[in-house]
Amino acid sequence: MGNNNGAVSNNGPEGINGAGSLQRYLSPLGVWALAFGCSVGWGAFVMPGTTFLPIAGPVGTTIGLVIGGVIMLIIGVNYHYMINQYPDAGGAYTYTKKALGYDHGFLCAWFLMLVYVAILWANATALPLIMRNLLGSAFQFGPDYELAGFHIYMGEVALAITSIVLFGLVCLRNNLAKWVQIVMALVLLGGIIVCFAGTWAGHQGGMSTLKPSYAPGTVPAGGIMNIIFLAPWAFVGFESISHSASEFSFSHKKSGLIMIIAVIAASAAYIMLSLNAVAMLPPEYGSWPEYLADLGNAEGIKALPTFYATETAMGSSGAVLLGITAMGGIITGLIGNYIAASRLIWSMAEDGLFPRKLADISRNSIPRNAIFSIMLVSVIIPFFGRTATSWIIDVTTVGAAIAYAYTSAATFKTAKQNGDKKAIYFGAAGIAVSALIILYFLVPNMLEVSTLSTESYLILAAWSIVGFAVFRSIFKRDTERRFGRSTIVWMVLLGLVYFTSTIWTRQSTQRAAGKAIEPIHEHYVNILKEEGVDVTTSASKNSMEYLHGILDDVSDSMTTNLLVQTGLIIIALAIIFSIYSIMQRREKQIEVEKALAEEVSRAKTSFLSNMSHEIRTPMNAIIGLDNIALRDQNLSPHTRDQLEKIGSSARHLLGLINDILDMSRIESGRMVLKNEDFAMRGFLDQINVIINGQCVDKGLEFECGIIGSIDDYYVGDDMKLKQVLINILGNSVKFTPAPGKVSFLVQQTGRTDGRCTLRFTMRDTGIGMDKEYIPKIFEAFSQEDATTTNKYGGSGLGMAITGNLVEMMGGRIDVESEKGVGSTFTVSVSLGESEMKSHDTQLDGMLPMLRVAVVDDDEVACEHAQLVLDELGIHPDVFSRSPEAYSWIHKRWEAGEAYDLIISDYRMPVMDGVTLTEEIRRFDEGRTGVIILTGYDFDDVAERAHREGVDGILTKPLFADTLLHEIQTVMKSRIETAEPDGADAAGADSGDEGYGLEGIRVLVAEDVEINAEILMDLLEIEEIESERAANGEIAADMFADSEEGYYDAVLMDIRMPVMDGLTSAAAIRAMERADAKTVPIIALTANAFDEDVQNSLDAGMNAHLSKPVEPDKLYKTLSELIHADGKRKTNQRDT
Amino acid sequence: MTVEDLYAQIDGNYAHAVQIMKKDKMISKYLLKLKNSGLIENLQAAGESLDPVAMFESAHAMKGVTANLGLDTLSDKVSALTEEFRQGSSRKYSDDEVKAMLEDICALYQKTADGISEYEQSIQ
Repeated sequence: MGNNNGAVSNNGPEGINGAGSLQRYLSPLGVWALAFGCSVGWGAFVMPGTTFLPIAGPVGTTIGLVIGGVIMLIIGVNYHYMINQYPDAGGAYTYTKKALGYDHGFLCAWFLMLVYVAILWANATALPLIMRNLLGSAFQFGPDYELAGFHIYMGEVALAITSIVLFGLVCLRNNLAKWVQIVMALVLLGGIIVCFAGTWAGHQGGMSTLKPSYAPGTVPAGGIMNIIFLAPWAFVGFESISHSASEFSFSHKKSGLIMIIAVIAASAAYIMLSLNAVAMLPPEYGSWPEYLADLGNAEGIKALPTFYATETAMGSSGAVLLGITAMGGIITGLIGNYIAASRLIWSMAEDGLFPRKLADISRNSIPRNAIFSIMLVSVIIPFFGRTATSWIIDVTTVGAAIAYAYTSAATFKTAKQNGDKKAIYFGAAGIAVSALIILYFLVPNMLEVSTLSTESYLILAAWSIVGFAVFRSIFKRDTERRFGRSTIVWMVLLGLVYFTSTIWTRQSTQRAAGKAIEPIHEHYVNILKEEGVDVTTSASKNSMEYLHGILDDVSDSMTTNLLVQTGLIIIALAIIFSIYSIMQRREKQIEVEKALAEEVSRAKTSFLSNMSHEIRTPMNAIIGLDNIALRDQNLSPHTRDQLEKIGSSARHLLGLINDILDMSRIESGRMVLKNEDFAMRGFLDQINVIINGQCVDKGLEFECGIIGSIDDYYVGDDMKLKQVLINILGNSVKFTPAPGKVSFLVQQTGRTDGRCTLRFTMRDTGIGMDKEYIPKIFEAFSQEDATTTNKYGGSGLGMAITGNLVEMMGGRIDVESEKGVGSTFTVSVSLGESEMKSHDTQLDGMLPMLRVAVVDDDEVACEHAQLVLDELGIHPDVFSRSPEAYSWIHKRWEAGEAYDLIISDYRMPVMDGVTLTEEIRRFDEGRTGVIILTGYDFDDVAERAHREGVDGILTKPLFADTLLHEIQTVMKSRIETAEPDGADAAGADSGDEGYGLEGIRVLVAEDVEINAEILMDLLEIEEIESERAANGEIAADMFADSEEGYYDAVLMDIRMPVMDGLTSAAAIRAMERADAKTVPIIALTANAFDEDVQNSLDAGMNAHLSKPVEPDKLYKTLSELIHADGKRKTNQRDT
Repeated sequence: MTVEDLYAQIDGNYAHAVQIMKKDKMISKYLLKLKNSGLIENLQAAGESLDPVAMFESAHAMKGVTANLGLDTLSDKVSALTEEFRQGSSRKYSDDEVKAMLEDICALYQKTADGISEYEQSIQ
């Protein structure tokens, strides 16, 4: 499977990458050297004398180390399982993050990292100690100082720093590091075996030196148990190979066996060194307990029992050999931990937990920056001396146990998912053992010996706080939201900070109190002595015991209080985090619900939009067929009534569908406002026609007026604004009982920076509303009471849509209402100023010379008419009473100063506008032009008015361009009347009798042949010439190849092969010829939603027709577009 | 047989056809053209492979022609296929369901074509 020279990615052996990836360079021997070398270091040579043997004795130590090794093998099995699951550089970090999430992964890595660098520091600072034993004071030169009771010489600091730098540099070459590690590991193991054999071979006291087998004064089982719990400290590092898993050049299945061999070898090494420590005793001691108990007073090589025994048995060469062996332990520890820590840091940096620079891989496949970062931090450590460093080293046991616990938990979870029962049991056993080890080390005096030093608790607390800070920084940068998913991690860190700092306080206080006993005792003994009391030694001893007893009681009380306090705080913390967890879950739930709601909203909008076409088609069919059916003269009254009700319901249903669609578009943000020029005249005309019709039907009076002067054109979305105003006015009509009045006033209230503010005031004398209800009227589905819906109908969405549309326009709606009196709605919107003006005509010059009279009983209307006429340069005489007006008109006629034009309101007291006309026609021989203004339907007035000689009828309110157009028509008519042989201009206007499209030429772009033929046949009916293009590209080419002005319009199908209609229209508009910009292009498509229309307009088209195209709509649209262009009109006349 | 009779026979919407074509003569002209248009054959061919582009193109073409002719039922059924294969929309029906829809369309088209043939004979 392996490839010695291949490179692997961080994701496993299959990912073969080039530069920038780790390299597969480790053989099984190299991996074993890493595992064994990291496990056995300088501690193995010192701990037998200082720790193992005093706790458990030679036999107890041996048994403890064997059992400890077996426990490590359980952890090793878990590592083996996970290495094969995730063979990358992260080791326990990767396993934890994959199985339990990134939060746990961070916690695990944070402590594991400390473990590896701390062991590295332990080995580097041990080097001067060996030198002290081997070379005496050779390195004790330069400035010196004392820290925590340890004397530090700059020479020794330099030696430690040199080792850190040197072996860091060795690690920058994979093969060099590998071979140094292998050689040194073999030296280490071989040296221990040789020294053990040599020592025991030279041993002459038989097994008597091993007596007592267990530590005197202790229970053997307790001692063995203590040794077992020290196993993580002793063996830590065997699992470091998990960080090099991606660099194995062989199958990962062998990793288990390698770890077993490494743990057995390490176990044997510890046992051999422990037994060596008691093989030879200095002659002044009778037994090993005596020797080891006095070790603090021993000097030179006697202070190191393993070395003393070897030297005694093998001579100085033995001591040198053991020194070289210990050097092997230190070097393998340095290299092994450099490799493990650098791979771990690299892996964390790859995930963004550390700066990305640390994830750089050099050309020779080394995480170089990670190694340099370790080197940089490590060179500071030797300045703190061995004692301070050992406080940090003590913490490694807890750190390693945390990593073991996490790896076991990851194994447990992964095995559970994989259904691997054996691994589940090993995982569970690993968790239990690791948890016990953590508790053993954190809870002081849980068993017989104290575990961590007092300062180590403080270091653990400080490391946890730094961990918190780093976690916060990572969390802040965590854009992928990988962190912050588990509050347990926070609890653990916080708990560690609190617990360890409290223990530190307790231990420190206790130590200070212990130190205080002696001076207190001495002080009182002296007082007693001064007072002549005989204080015997035994009495003094008793009092010391008494004081120590009191201190013990205080200590016990402190421990109890601490445990209670810890318990309470842990409970409080658990509750706080539980609450936080609930809050977090709730927030997450809200996020999920929001995302779901948005998704549902999108789906709803999409569904409604897609369905609209489908729903509208049958609705149109129902309405159409109903109308056809109603034309049947032979219908019975009952059937007619039913058909009328069907029609009414269908129209209502269609209105509801339209409202729902509008609302869904607004909610989804798909409602787009146009920003186009529109004529205010047509805009208000359309509103008035609809509302006036409704008022007439209901018997209401309707009035529309303009206050002051307004422009003929504005820029905005006239369709949406019209929808707003019709909605409000429609409600006014709906909620106003006959005989009532609805008025509609328009006023331009301001003009700044190209924007005009328009105020539309809609007032009715209807049923009104309670003031409390007014704020709710713009909510969807709100009506003042349930009976309102039944009585007045409506979807309940109209005002909600209205409110939203006005908001989209940046406007506002004010509502005033009084129950039983009526309501006033004021809509204020800002519209753009338009550059479009009424067209100048040949009559423009004549206008100021026209003699005009305005007759209207409404003062506001009179004033407005005067304003409009002023804009045209006409200065009328104004009359508010029709009889007076008549007298004056007649008088002027007789005086030879007859009026050219009379503009009169229709409805006036005494004499209405038509009667006034009738009277004028009695003397003027039809020479005076008369235009009637009406707020009512043309149809109601037209017949009588024309009969009585009225020339034109205009609906109120009056607009300059409407009035101008009408004046032109009327005055031409007057001229023609005066000149019977005049030009036949009358037929030129588009009117009721035809569309005026004869002879024009249209380019039809339609891919389906039959559809194109139908369209062309329909055009032929109106004598329109047409040419077909089978797709958008051909259409663009045909237009390009034609002479300028050849085509009068283009009918453009949207969905076509090769080039669609939108692209083709855009291509035509982009052509460098005058008619490319002006030729009307009409889009033809089956879809007629807002966005389709908008897309067509964006592509430069002028209008949009839904397919199948109704001929009348087609002709009308063509006529409007072509006749809107003066030049076209001329062309049309020429043909 | 009048055009109106034909529409009654083939479940077409005569009123709709008149609304668009205005005259019986024109409706008649295009009904006869429909028979030889090859539209249904294209749709059937696309149905063999269920190629989404071919399905959309052929269904879209047939939808437009039948809608112009007021053959609303046929147009609605073909429209469902058009939407099914419109680019950007997700499929709602399984291939088997689409084939069943196609068979339904072919059967309705056949009925329409038979009616047209009958009408053609009656006016000769």
